[in-house]
Amino acid sequence: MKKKMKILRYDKREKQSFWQTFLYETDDEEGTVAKALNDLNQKEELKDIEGNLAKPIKWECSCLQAKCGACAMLIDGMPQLACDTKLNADTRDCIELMPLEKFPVVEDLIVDRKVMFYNLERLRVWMEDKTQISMEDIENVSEASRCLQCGCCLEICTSFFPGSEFAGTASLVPMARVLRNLPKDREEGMQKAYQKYIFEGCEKYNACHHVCPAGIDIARIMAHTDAAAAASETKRKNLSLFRTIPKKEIRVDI
Amino acid sequence: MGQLIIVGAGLAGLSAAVTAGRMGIKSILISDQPSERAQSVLAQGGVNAALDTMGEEDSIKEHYRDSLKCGSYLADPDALGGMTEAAPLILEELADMGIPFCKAGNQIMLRNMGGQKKKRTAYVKNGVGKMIMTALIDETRRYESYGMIERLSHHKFLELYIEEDCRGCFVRDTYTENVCFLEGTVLLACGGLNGLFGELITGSRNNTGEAAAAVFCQGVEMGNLEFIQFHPTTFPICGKRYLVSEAARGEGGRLFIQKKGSPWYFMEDRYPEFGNLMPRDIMAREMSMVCRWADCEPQVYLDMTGIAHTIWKEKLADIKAACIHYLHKDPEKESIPVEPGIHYFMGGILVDKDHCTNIRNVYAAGECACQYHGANRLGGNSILGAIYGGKIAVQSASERLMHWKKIKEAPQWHLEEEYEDMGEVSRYLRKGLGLIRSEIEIAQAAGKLEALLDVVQSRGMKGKRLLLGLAMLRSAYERKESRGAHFRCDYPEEKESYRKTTVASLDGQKLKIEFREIGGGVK
Repeated sequence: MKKKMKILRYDKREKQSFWQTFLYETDDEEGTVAKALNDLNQKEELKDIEGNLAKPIKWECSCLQAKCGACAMLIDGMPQLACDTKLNADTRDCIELMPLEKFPVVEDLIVDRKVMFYNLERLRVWMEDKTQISMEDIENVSEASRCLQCGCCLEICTSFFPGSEFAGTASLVPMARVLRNLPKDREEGMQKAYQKYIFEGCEKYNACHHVCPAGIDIARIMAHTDAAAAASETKRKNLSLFRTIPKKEIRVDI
Repeated sequence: MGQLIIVGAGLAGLSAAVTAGRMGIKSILISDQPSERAQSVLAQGGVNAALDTMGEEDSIKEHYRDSLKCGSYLADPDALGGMTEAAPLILEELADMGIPFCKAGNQIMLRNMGGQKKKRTAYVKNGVGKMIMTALIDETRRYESYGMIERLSHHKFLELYIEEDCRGCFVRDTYTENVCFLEGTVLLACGGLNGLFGELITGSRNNTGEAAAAVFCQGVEMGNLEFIQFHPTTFPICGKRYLVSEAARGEGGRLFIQKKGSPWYFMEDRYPEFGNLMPRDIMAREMSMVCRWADCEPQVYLDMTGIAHTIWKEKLADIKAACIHYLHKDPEKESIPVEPGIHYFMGGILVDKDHCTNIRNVYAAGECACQYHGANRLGGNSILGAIYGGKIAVQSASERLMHWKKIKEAPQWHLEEEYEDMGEVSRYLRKGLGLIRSEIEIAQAAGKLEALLDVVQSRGMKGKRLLLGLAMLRSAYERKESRGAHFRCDYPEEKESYRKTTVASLDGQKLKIEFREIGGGVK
């Protein structure tokens, strides 16, 4: 199999982006983008398609089996893991690689994803001492624990952008792990935070559900957490279905 | 009071950071990638503890004995005793952190793993390492918010700074390339030596072995480097190996080979007592051996077709998904080809039972350290060893931190060019340190590495990982017996005189290998 690998590179010293295309050949029909990047970098002399010498391509890599989220990047425009994307996934002879666009680029395909970790701290996503997960919540906790913090969900999201208050699915999923397992005094605060930084900002397109490389059932988790947040909201406002809700006066200024 | 610098944010590093936080000790947590990318997230089997919830009359003593025996009596009995005793408490603590262990009522259920007759391994539905890491990462974040842990992400450990004792270390910001000095006690939790073995590994590509090599070249002793665990059931995927957890055999998976045209379940035939749950070292070697037999086809298969559908759904869903994804085979319906792959390094930075190295103010825990596992590690003991080791290291570091004297002037960093191409090195090491070893093969590999090291040094470069690789080969060369994961076809017997720790050290440029009494500590 022969593929052209067109890569958007970033030289951190010169602070410049540029496209560079490499030719990659392999006999391995199961070859992945990650394997191609590794092989290209292992060449004694890496040359681009025009024969110019090139520096090794910088990218983040760790587990190579879609369990760590390190190698998330834009592959033909879609946020995906390089280790989980086969070269023959597309019949075209050229694959385009770009760093994720919602995060500041550091070098070549490496981006700084610290905003995700910052958000988790800001939203105080952790449990308190001696938390016993209830049997009913085990399924939910297990599913939510699988989040890779790769950033694919934020990349595809129409509501998340750098600096936005909306924290996105990368915070929603870890929150779902703790939301129903907090002591009373923290539960309310977490519900409020969820309401403000997740629920109100989400446009419910569910694109994150489709791109999640861990295959987390985000739609189900979201329904679960939304329900918890809504229930607490009802409680907070002391609303009841059996009470007449006062009608708002609608005034139209002419 | 001094500060604690933890190098590595995997299981051992996080366990140490959280323990320190709870003890009121401030720590700096260094890692070049976030904890979500650590190899610990790949752990599949579970966590061993003699909870005895399965009505088999299990005990801490038996856990201890099984671990010691599996490690061919090379582990430090004192240290191992401490770990097995603490195991039930550690498991309880993990459950309190919200880890969804499989339970029956209120009791944690346990399952079978290799080398242990009793059910002793706590598990979750899928990917126990990931579940524990997620909970520990959350817990770490909590202590970060209290100001007890400071994370230095995208930072790489370069070197210790040693006056008489260690006074701190140099780290490089991989984003800006700036190097800075951090003062404090250093706890190394930098993982196994995967980077020296290329595509034969089942773990993370990011465990390069650079940190261990750096400290080795600064005089930190290494122990039992020749003991490398090959996991029997792996298959190649792009750039590494995928590991099919021992749990698959615990639930009824069976190994076979085609002999004279029909399947032969050789482990059951040859080891009727444990069958497919023999310790990993024996299993891997058997596989390698039957593949060489004239009447056998040279491919071993793992037959998991007898496992009930509910078990696949409840306990082995990850493995099934991986087989379908990578091999295009449904393991519920057909057998899959497997071969041994490098999975764990029992040896590493030599520590005493308090996790102190031979250099004052330097500690090590987790896979990078040589502790608990002797000549071969028991499945289910690695997560336990990492968590327990992290705790103990912090406890012993805490005493010295109380009396920390600040250094007068921050030292300067001098850049030295390091040889980085590990392709050739890993080829030699794989050749010399295979499943079945011989003096000739080890010596040949060592000769090639020495020649390469000469070339590297003549170019004015440092070859730290080359030296560490050479120390591994020399350790294997000097151990003229077969024990645990170290099998020498020229010395196939275990010898009592070698029931000692192999210690590798570097004195200037000179490599020294010696054998020291077990539990004799560090010098």
